[in-house]
Amino acid sequence: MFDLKTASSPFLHVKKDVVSMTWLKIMALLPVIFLAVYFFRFSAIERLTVVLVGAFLGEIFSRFLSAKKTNFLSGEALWEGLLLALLLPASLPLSICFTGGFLMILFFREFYGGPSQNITSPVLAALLFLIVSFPILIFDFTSPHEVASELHPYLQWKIDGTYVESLGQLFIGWQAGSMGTISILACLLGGSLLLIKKIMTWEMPFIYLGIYSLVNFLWGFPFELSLFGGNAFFLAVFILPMGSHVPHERRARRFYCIIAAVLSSLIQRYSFYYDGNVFGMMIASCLTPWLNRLYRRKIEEGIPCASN
Amino acid sequence: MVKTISLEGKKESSLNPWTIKRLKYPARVSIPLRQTLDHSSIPCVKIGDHVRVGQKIAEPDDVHSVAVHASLSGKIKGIETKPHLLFGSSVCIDIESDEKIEKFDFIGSERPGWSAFSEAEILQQFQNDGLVEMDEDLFALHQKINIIKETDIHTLVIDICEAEPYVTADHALAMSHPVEILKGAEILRKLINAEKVVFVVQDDKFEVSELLKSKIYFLKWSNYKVHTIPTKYPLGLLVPMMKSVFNENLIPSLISLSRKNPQDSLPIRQTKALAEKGYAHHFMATVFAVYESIVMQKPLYERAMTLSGECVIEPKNVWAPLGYLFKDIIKEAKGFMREPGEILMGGPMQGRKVSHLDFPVLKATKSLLGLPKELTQKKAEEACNHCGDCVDYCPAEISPVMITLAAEKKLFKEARDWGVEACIECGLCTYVCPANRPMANLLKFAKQNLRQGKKNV
Repeated sequence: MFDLKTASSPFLHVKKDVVSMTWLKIMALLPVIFLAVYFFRFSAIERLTVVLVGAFLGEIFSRFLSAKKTNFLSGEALWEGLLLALLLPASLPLSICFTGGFLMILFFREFYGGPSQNITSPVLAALLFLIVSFPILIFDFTSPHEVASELHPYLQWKIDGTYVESLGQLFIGWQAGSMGTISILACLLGGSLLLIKKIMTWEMPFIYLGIYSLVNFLWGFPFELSLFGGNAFFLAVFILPMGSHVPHERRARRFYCIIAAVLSSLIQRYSFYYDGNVFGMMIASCLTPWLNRLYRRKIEEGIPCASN
Repeated sequence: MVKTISLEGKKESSLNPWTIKRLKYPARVSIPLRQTLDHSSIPCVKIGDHVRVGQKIAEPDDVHSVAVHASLSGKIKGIETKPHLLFGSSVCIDIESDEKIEKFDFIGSERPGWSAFSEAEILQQFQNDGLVEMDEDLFALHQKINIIKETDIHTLVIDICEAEPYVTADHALAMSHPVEILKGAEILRKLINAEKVVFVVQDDKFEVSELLKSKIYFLKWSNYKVHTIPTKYPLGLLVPMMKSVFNENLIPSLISLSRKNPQDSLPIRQTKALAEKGYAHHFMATVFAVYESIVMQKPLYERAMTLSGECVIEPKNVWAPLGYLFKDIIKEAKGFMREPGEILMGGPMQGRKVSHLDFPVLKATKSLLGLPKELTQKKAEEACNHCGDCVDYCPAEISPVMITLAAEKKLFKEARDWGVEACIECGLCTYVCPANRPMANLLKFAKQNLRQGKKNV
């Protein structure tokens, strides 16, 4: 009988594991949470709490249904709940925040078999669900105080081809938008921790943001607005490079970023929505199984492969 | 480009000094007759017979097996089937010591006229002296040479890498017997008609490469080279080594050979793949055994091995007679200073767990390690988080994540499509996996089932 647990080597192991990685990712979100609370005060605390309660209850309920043990210490529900909350506007009704958090874990994570078993990011799927279900409320962004414009800079651009925020305002976070995505500074601080701890590489966010800004620029959208406005930066740092929706092979990951960036830009240009990042990444993540096969390493040189 | 990791070598303790100590002969040895991969030998002694050190106690059963020799002088006390660390079980011959350590006089003296031996005579001698490739694969040397000789060989590669932490037996052997190793290499070079010989040494063995270079210089053997590679895992393993040193990719050949002959084991496929490209590869311990067999008339009844690990009181390199029980060897190293988490035969990356210390030394035993719990304790397994680290690090350039996900569902055809046959069992995928999945075991599981002809279950 082949014993999969104890039969053989190696007996050494790298000093990192999924749980510690998840907690490091949560730590990387701290600057973003801090600035979200700074900008939106009690509204941010309320929404963060309610989404997290929804996510935890979703986990407890789904684990109860599947007779599995709930383990909050794994940090998965906390990580995903925080990501979803930070992608929501500070004015979104609390009931919708709760629904988003609850359904994200129940439908988009646990029904697929648990963490890392789903075909796309549960956060993206839940956000898309909220966008489709509540299209008005989800784009009703409350602005931080002392903001230059009450309108989301992308929407402003779509309406009249201008935006009023300076580069510094966009970088620090003085712009209308969802709670966690407005401050590029906070995203950079969090992203730096992920890079230092080797939880992600610089390559994927760099390719995504580069291609996205470039394609946007080609159809006349300002380069700096692509980089520092909207939720592109947040998604590129915290969602794009990590999770089961990412292809395994390095070249496939590059192609995945290119596809996501081009789709985001095209959706932004030609659709009703003025920010296409969520849609672009969501569609690209659905292509991951195909990308994994496409970039299966060509090791057979001349030998026909059964599935090719 | 092969992506590598730096493992802490921990080699100093057993290398201080660079000598290989001779153990006190034990009161009893238990010598397994199964010393090659799929073949056993037939006993040619009976209970009650008196044997001397180096006396043949088992004849080769067929062309694939080798003779087995007594490592102790004394009386045959038993011939019975016992557990075997590599192959499940094997007939073992127990010898009880007469405390005289009687040897044949000719053992250790130079064989007259050895340089005039024909190829057939040398191969016959290899089989009669019980020579195998002294790695865990236990490939009969004469059989390996026969495979190699089917093609034209231009380069003989002698492997002194010792890619794994702790293991230093080859290092000590090379420092104490450099000329013998060069002579052994020359015997093999002539046997396979290779033009040149390349010693591949990891750069943590700086003194070995310098010593060999100086000996080669004085011998004026211009077709001998010493190539140094970085001490990074898995560069010291055959497939990555061939890629980094000779820029030869063996993976396509390994897959092709696996599909032609699914029953062939990895060492056989590696030998054939190398021979197709004009290379032959031997470990340094084998080369030394060739010298001892052909020149010094000494059959393979003992080998250099490393006793090491944080739990061993006195780490050292020793000459271990075959059949010497692990518990007696550990006693010779003054025992364990604390209870080991794992006892391993071989290195911590590719070695085998030793479940109890009643197993005997084999021709494949290059080390015995006692590692502490904090180093070997396995963490709880998580679901794959698709980080792609296993794919990034795989030296065979396959996708361990896809293969293991298929193997878990027993979809072996799918595993085959993802290139499981190219796996060289380096263990790097398990090492880097943050989800602690038993990836190396799942890969072996898929390969084992494919060899048995199973596609999907």
